Amino acid sequence: MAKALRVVHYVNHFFGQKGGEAAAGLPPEVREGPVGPGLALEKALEGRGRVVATVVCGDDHFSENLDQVGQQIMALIKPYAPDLVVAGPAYGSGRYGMACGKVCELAQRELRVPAITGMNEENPGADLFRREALIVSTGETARTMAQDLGRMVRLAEKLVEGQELGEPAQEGYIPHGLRKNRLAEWSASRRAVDMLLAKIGGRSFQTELPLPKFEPVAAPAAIGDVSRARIALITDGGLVPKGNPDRLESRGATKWLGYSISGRDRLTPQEYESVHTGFDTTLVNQDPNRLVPLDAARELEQEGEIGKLHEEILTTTGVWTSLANARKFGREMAEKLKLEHIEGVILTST
Amino acid sequence: MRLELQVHHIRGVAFGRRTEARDGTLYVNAQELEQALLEDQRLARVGVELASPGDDCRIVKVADVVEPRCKLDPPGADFPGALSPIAAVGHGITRVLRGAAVVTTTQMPSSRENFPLPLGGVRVLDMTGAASQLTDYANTFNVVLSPVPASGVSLAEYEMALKYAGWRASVYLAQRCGGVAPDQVEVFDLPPLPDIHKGMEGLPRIAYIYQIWSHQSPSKPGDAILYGDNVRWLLPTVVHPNEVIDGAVLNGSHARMAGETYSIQNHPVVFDLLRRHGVDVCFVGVVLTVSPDGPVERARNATMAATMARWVLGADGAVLTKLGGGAPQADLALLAEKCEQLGMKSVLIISETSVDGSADAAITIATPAADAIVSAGSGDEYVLLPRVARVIGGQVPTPVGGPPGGENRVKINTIVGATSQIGANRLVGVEY
Repeated sequence: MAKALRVVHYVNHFFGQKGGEAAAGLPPEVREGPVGPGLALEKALEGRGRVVATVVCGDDHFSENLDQVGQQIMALIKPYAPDLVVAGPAYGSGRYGMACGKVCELAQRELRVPAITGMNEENPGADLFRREALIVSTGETARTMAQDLGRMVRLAEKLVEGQELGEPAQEGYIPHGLRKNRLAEWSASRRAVDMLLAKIGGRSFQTELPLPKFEPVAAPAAIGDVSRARIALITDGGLVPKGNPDRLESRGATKWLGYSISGRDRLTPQEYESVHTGFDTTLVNQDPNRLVPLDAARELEQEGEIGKLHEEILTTTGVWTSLANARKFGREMAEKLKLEHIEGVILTST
Repeated sequence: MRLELQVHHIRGVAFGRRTEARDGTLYVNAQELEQALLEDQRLARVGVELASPGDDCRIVKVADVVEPRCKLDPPGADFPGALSPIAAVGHGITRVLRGAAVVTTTQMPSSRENFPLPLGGVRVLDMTGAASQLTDYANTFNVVLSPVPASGVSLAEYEMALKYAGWRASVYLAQRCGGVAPDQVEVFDLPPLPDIHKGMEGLPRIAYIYQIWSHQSPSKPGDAILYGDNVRWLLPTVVHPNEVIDGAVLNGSHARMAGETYSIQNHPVVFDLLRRHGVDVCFVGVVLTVSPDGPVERARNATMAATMARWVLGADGAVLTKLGGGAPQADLALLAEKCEQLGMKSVLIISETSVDGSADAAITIATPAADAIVSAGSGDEYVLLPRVARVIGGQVPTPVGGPPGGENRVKINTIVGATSQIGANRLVGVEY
């Protein structure tokens, strides 16, 4: 590398030599040159770069106000015009891990500077920032500091040069939780036959698509007396008023909608339809009540089986929807219905 | 059952006074080809253009890709049940123009197009640039058809005519290329099932459970999928592997996630297993099934298909593939469960479904039995199409995106052949 890299290093109060737990509340400050582990960092750079400045901040101070302190730290880093920001490594320390993750996220996003940190996979900072930040996987304690900084520097140099990183296990970083395409050596069909032969032969094989681990959803307490409860109808079956006036996406929804059913005893095919593209909508478009059972719910309401039917149907399209959007819709719908004192929901899917 | 493929290698394509294969070049008499296709009165005229690998050219609104082939024995048994009367295929002799392809483009705006895409919907094929690296169809010498509907023809009728035009052109081209000896002869000769593993008793017995349709978009009367049947109520059924690659199974629709006729004629799983039969596998047969649209039907199909593979074909393991979108993944999950319950190993090929690249949405199933999955990659990544000098098939206005010959950023599932749910290409998703 022709030009020596300008590196800014972020460390916490302890590694910044400000003291123990008593110094955890200190606000950020910047110092010229390396401090503490910065010396080992500079050594790991082997002359290809130097630590021009070190930002030090108390862990409590930072973690109690991540966004605001993060911005202050960016303002401290910016004048040094670094080529690279290195944070930590934070090992098993949760508060420090959050701080390092935040520094990396902001340095990349706001200063447009490559950034890297290191921490243990169990560190809550890893869970929170692995999507955005490049985090080298480390042990739980600083015993391996020199080697870890060496690994961080090698990866960081690839980052600065714009090289594509290899797979997480091989490069030693914590997966971002994202997927991308590569070209395999052989076609998927051949790989499938090979994998099947390994499986039958009892040899080791590795699935190429690990199954997702869904968080278990605890069932809420039962509604005490349904005949007094307010019940709402929700669907992810793409039900909309005919003509889809609000342009609900037919796949990959980015929104959910609410429609009043006030004064209606059933949904007619003249007024409602499904725009969902993931199932055969023929029957639903003949009788939309088979997707959202307004007809049956009204009967139950009149018979006193349920207390009161909520006068608004909530709807979205559950096909090719990103998990992030699906979680967001669920949260928003639940918050809204809670405010309106809805005690139960009938959720019909397809 | 013995199938002989007489393969002619095509290394060039040009217009000529007569349609023939000479010295590795496919010459096409465009007028004669058009006349042959206009026997279908649903069509008013058919544009015929040529596109070779490396041409500064983009084909837009691609509906299907077909390998030129014809049956020599039994003669005329081409795509039986669709183009010709019902006749068994998978045996006898088939002529193949390998290296050539018929590409059809749709020349009628589709109101039923679910997925509005740049460049006029459906799919595109670049013969040069970044997108051409993603598809085998940029490496074939392509005869591109742009059939124009006759007046008064409905969209449904036109779509049917478009499918038949591709198949008919395939047969026309191959039939005109006799008179020269084939460059290569491939023979696929499997004995009847009771004898199939004689001499290979030590090899694992493998079946292929092949989902040939997903009724997420239900097939319509006249859609030719299995010997001309629309498989609307198909129960799992056993066929010989040779039948699959010799015209019995067709893609009934131009839906983007149904694959191309070419990929069935060259079915990667079937060919891989046929070529490895006697080497490291014993290929005991194919079970065809569909992804239905109800839970009872789903359970029935999975149970019957797994039982057939295990106890009728006697398989030790099965490869499972799907078509369509996310719902058919549930069919594969259930199939995998049934297979494992019957003591039969399974491997699934699944294309990834995450729209934003997040790993936790790459697949919708979480059945522990599905512990061996081959990723066919994600169609949701983007590729930049360059400006090109020539556009084929762009006569109908394009509702989305810029001019069809311009620079355009598209998802790779827009590129015909870039993704394959039956495992035809090398794309794989990796976590990072």
